[in-house]
Amino acid sequence: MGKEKRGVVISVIQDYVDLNKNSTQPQPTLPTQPGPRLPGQPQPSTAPEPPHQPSPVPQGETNTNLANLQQMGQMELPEPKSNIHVMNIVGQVEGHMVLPPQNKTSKYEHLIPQLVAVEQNPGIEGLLIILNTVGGDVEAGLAIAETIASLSKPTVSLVLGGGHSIGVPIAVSADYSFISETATMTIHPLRLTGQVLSVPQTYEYLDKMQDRVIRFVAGHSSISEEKFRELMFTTGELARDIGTVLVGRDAVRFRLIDEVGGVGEALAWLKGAIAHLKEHGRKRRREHLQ
Amino acid sequence: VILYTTMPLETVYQGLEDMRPSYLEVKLAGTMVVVEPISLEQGRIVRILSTDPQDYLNPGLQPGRVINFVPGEG
Repeated sequence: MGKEKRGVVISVIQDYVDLNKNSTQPQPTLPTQPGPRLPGQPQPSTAPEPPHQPSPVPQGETNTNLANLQQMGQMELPEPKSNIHVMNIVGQVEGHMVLPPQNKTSKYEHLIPQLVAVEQNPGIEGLLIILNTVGGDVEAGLAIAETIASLSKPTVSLVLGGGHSIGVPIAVSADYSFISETATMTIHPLRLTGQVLSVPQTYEYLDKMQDRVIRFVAGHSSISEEKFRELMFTTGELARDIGTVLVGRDAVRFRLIDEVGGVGEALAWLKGAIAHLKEHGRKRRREHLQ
Repeated sequence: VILYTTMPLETVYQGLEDMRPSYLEVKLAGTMVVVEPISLEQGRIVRILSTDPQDYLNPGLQPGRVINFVPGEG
């Protein structure tokens, strides 16, 4: 079986090789298809291509792809054009298990290296995290939150729509957090029913995991452990569960989120934080964390 | 795996038993990526296997991108 697999030889059209070159230069279209000519246009040259327009790929079909890609504007440099990067965390946070395709997921194996790249790339000065998530894998979510919290560059989060369950620690992991007026955050206990497919875990294990979430949230926001736990175990708020739904201002009132705002406020804060870092050599943080 | 989510788990896990994803590892412009074949000629990038963090910001390698296979030297 293994041998058979090795026998399958596949290479891929290198339709975007040489990403560091030719990105801004419009490539000539295929010489075989001159197309309609405007009266003022010069005669198409039959001379060999000028040296400043090298063709990085073999001629033929590949070149068509290359031309198409460039027409579609998809030949981009990996270098950042903006000093601020945005990370969108939507749907389920996917961790160790690939979820069925009806789930829209944000996968931690993508997000974490991207966070590393943001930290490492000197052209990136700040990160905006936009959340609209229903929660997901608790360990993956905590890993993402920890990684965001450990970045040396200014980070700001914005909860749009919803930042539920494991989205809560991710939202508070940034240096400063915003929530839009209508966005909601659901705080509820971890459930045993989440383990349908895993090795049997004891209730104690679940409890420990829950403590990790609570401690992280309390450590990275202005809410106390006791208050967060209280919200988590409130009865009568949710129809099918115990817990609390915080809408926009409520999240700020309980000091879980720093401010009600939108993209404008979040970006303004980030710009200020970048300037602060340049000026003082250290990050601007919430008062209680300084 | 513990899911901490507001979504009912039956909704999340629906169709899990029927899922038979197949993946190939291919080298794309010098970077290993995991690709899910969608036809004989095309595949969709599932994830990047690289130690260079900047590869994860490369638009050409983003998961979900459809690539074309051509026979050639592996």
